[in-house]
Amino acid sequence: MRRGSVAGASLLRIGVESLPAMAKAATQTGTRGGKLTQAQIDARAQQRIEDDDLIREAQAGERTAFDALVRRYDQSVLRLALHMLGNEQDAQDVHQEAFIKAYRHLANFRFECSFYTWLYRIVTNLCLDQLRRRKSRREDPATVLDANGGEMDLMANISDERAMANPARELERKVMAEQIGCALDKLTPRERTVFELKHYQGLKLRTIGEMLSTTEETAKNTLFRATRKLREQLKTARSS
Amino acid sequence: MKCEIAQQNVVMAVYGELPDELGGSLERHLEECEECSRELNAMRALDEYLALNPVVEPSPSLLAQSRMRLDDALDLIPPHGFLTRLRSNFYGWVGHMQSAPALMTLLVGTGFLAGNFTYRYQVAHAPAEAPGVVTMSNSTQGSIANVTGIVPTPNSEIVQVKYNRIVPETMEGSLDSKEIRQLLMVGMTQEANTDVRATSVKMLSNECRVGHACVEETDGKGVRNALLVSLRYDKDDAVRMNALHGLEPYVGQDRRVRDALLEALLHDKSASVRTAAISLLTPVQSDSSVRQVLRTVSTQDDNPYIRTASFQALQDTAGIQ
Repeated sequence: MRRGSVAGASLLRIGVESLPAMAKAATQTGTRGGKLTQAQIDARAQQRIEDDDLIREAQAGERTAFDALVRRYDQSVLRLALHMLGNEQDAQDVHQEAFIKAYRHLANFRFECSFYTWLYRIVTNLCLDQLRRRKSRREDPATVLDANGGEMDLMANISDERAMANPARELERKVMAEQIGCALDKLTPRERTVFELKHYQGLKLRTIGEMLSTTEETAKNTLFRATRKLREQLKTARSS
Repeated sequence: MKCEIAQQNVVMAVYGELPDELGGSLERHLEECEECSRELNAMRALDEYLALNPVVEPSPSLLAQSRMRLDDALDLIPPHGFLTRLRSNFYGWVGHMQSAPALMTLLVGTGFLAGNFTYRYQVAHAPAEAPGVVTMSNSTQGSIANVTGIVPTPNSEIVQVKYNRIVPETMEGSLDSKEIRQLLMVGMTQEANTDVRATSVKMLSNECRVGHACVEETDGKGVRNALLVSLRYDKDDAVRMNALHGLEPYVGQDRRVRDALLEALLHDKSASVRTAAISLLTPVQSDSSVRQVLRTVSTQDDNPYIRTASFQALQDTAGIQ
């Protein structure tokens, strides 16, 4: 799920605060992707220790250890691929290819970063390749296909208590979601990936830089460009 | 703060990536700059709008299906064999080397130096093997020693002359090697060259004193016999003295050595050799021959010091009859 959404919501409450208060809220850390609590830091450290143990066992040829690693991360991988590609079939392919790559190259894992970062690097690169192929084919996947090849409405999976209570509102939300999808598709594959990892996955820019084999500064500039483009696209969409 | 930088910082602040030290200056800038405040509002509006397209959790059926597909694909991959592991270990090692080049250089350097030191240590402390004897000879530089025969060819001017040539050669090797000892024993007999005799006797004496293959030989061709000959017949006092010292370890066990020392004590023209002989014979005064010779020397030797030394040696043997 999107991290820091609660903090983000408080930050983005419009029109109720004075300008100085808004400025203060904007510059506070601890919002989306901000500082972690001590409990979160401890939990991550513990998880990394457990991951490292499993990796060593898997490197020694223990298939069950690798299966345990798969169970830990496959939902996150599938969620990321599904959101980036908007297509169940493609998401499944990326999910499978990513873990097979990880399995084949696990011996090269040198514990310099977390398994999570290493795996996400594989996943994001596969998604990037997929997006580039789409760009080159001038694909415009406005519709989302499910595993059976049928059209699927992503918004149908979103639990919204108000959905049945207000169908007009629900329709409006669907339209806006489509506009957002189109705006995201207008980004370059790299901009899309950086924005996805930062906005939706809540990763630190330094980690994103590592995943994409680039610097934190480059990731920062890419994110800035992506937000500018999205604002322009959505402003046009909303005005129309 | 410039607006361009402030607007970038607004994005960073919204995403929680703005360093604490920049927070204050951005806050002040936003209070004063209307355009950048609009930027902040625009970012908030974007975030709110994007919330309409949230990340969707994959359905349980999709997740289960993906897991099954993955398990099937993994089952098809053969388990890592020996070669695969070897390759993996190799790449892992290369990876470690790439990640820590300084450490690897240090380790390789240390290994090289340690290996070099160990090799030198082993060479220095290796048991002395008999090194291969190096012989250099040049038959073209030898001088003719003698002519052994002349065979004329009938009805011809051709004649066949048989002769021996003395060829100078050099041999290098350990004192333990048989060939070198043989040559040194020959050197002990070189009448014309005192230096060669002295050096040969001194070297072989030292070998005998440290117990290196100076055993008694029945054929009379061993080093001990050669030293006995030098003690009895060599013209040089120093050579005889060296031979005497070389025979010291065998005085108690070899009667021939004792007899040679007694002869030296009675007849050697060097007072130093005679004095040394008295001191070497002292531990074997139980031998009646020794006591007899000491008695003779104590009364008849020309040198008063030697007479006194013999007499004192005899006093020590008062209890021996």
